[in-house]
Amino acid sequence: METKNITSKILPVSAILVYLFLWLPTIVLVVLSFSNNKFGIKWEGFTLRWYADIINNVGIRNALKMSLTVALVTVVLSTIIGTLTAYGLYKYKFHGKKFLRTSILLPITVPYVVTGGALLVFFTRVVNIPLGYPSIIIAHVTFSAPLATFVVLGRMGRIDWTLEEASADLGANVLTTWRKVTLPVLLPAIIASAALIFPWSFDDFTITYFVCGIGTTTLPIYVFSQLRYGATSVINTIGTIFVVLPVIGLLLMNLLQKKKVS
Amino acid sequence: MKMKNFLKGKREVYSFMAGALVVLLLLAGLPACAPAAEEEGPAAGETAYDKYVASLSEGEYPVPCECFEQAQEEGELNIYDWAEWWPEEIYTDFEEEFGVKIVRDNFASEPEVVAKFKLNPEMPYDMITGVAIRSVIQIMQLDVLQEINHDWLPNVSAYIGKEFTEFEYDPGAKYSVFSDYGTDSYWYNTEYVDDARIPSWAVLFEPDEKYKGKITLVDDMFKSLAGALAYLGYPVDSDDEAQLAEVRDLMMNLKPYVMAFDSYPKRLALEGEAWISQGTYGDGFILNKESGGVVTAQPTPEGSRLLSDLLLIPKGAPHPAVAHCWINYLYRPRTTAFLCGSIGVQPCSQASLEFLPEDMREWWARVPEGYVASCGVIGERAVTGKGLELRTAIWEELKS
Amino acid sequence: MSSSKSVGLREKAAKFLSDQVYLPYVGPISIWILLFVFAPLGVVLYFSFLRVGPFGQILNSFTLEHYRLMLKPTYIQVFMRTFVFSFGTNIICLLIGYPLAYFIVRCGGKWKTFLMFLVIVPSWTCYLIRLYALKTLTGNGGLINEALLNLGLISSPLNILYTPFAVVLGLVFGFLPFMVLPIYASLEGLDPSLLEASEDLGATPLKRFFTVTLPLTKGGILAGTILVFIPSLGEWLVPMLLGGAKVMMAGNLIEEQYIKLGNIPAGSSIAVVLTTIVVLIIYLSVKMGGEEVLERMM
Repeated sequence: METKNITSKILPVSAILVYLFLWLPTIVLVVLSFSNNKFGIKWEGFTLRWYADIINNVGIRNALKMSLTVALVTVVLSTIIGTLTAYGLYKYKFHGKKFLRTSILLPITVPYVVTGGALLVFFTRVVNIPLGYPSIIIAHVTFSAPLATFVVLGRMGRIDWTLEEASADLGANVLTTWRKVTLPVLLPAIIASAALIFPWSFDDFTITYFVCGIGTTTLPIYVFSQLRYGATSVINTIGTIFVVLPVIGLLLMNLLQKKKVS
Repeated sequence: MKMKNFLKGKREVYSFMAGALVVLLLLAGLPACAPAAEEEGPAAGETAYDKYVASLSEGEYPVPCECFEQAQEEGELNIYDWAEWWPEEIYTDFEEEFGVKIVRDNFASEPEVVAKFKLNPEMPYDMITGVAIRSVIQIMQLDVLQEINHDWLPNVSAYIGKEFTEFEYDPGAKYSVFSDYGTDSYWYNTEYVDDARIPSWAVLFEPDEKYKGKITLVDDMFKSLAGALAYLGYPVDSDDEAQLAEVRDLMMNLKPYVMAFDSYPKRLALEGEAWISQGTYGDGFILNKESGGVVTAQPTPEGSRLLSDLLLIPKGAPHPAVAHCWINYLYRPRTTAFLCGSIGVQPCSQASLEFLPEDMREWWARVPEGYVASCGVIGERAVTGKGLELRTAIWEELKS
Repeated sequence: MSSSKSVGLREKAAKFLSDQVYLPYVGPISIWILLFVFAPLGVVLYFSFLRVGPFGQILNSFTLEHYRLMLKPTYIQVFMRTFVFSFGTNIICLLIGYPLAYFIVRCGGKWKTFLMFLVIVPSWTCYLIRLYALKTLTGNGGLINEALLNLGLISSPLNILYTPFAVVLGLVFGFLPFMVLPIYASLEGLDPSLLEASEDLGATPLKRFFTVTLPLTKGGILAGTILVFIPSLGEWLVPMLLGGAKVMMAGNLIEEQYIKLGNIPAGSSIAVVLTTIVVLIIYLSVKMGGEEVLERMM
């Protein structure tokens, strides 16, 4: 009983400390985004001018657009490829299946620097894929299509497939079955994989850093170039937006759900 | 691989992600809704070229009509340069005047530029700015630069100092045009640093015990080691094994004193975190204006390294005429002076000196007569063969 | 004769095709992986054996020089450091992540989701920006030092930033959520009746933990290790930003060779060695049953 008491006291305290560790930098970042200090590292009175700055900053706006485009295209391509793959792996037995499964693990586990470097060499030295949108998107899909595969595959075991079989028995062709039965059943899994891939692609720095080209400065690349040169008050502001957006999303979601209930 | 499990079966989370997505999209969409700038119609009876020529101030020469018209057709300029360096007005003024769009990409170090050229000889840029002679040498070896048409650059012909067009690596500035120059130095914080040896390099390279962990070096192997070579009295591009061995020992002894390798430790210097930093004399001018406590020492008696910023046009540049207009524009005396005054570098044209800010002219006046001429350049010896090998070995040992 | 033969062929072909119904599904990924994973890695392997010319051009002649150079003490030191840092990060993440996951599962109900959410949200902030925030916090004039100074706990600022400690701190900061997630998942999946049974048998909580809970969550720990240890091995941003570019890890060597020096063969040889190490570790953990856990998590 005594040990139980001790653990029940230690656990919350240690948990609070860990949360503090995880959140303190972010909190400080948000607070300092309102500080008048030019480098954004000390509190020097309240200001909103950094927010005005980023709204007026063409570089940030373009980078944001770039990042969103890349992330959206990546999500679409990788969920399509990933869902097909998961379906194939789940439903069929074929020669080399095990090898394929292991190969799909490879791009997820190879270090980003290696993926980035290898693709850079490949794009520039072997095939002529222009550095820019094409190279970034290919690189992102290379990482995230396998990710989508595993997310969707993981959920397939929990799906009731009788409806699909019935549809096939009734003579519906493959496309109709997919459209009417399979896709709706898989949709939650597909959305879950998209929910993973979108933020990953939006936030990826390392792979993009290697394969980006002309006019393709994504938001993380922009942030990186800023970090090097000390113009950092704006960084706090961008960081704050990154934190606040999910919270707004959360509130929106709550509102939507309440509406549904009522 | 984030938060997979967390998302498992939790519908709230998807809808929440969807919500976040909507907000993001809205945010990205907002600027796009801003009203587009009104376009000016061409004035009747007057060609665009006439208008351009008429708009020039005294002492500014126009590019030839042929170049101007080609530039108008090309309509864009892709620049590859350092982030956060040149003032924004330089670009916006040019865009407005020539009616072209400038797209800029940034590199974080010069070797990065060379590496990108090695990987991709057909870089789709029209203009590379701010690379030093040693990088130009490396890039020229790859045969990826376009010959510059000096007939299209009347301002350059009129104003550039002859000493900047007679370098051995590129006589006649056929492939590279200087935009500005400067010298290497170090900055120190008067609040913490009091050393009788100032302004010798010794303060930086053989520091006092009390400056342990308070020193920053430039995060560039050539520049960093060039400072050490200058301190030891050797040529900054030495490829002599014995000399570089001495450099290695010096640097390894210095290692415990080094807080970080940082190419532009502006914040560290201004906030008093770094007390002694390797950095250029010109950047020192900018820092000193922001905080009087940060002072720049022009290394004497050892001398220093000449730093060079050059403009290049890659082979196959999609908009070469605009690139020429750009170089010619930069050599207008007032523009040169504005640029140099904003970023703390020396102009290569005498004509622009009178337009420089007073405080900056004073700053450069502190450099002793003949000092710049005595400064060495990191040349071919340093960036190829043995010179490169020895440097790489020292650098890796230093940073590992 | 010939027509019947061709019919036979056609039938065979048709049968063959109908046997390959899986192709439309796994075809795209197979092509993609072949093109953009195997081919690039193959190219990297190939380049790692090529000589470099005086200006860094890649020459078409075979050499083992880059691999030989990797036996230099500096490289060995960097690889050792990479391994030690990653392993240390993993252990620290486990030591603080496990109790946290345990705490969250015990809280149960609505709290569980909320507390897990609190672990995840920080990782949605741009990774670079989070590292930068940590840098601001740990600097000599940063909040931590100022607080400690004001409290009189220290007399001069602690040197945290730009030390090996800062690098490990940054790694733990970045990867902790990926340790908490799988452990949380495996704890959540535990059958409470099992725990009750052992309670009935009079086991003390600690003993119960070590004899029942811990072994049952082995899979979660293994998955967490894969998610923390492997990416730490390839990390290069943390050493660069928090280590002041003077505490290099293997990832920095690759970046330096590829981007800063443009020496593709040398960079490739380091990439090959690092990838081999990673793949070996993955292979071992898959053998030990990590794959199943990984899949369950996804």
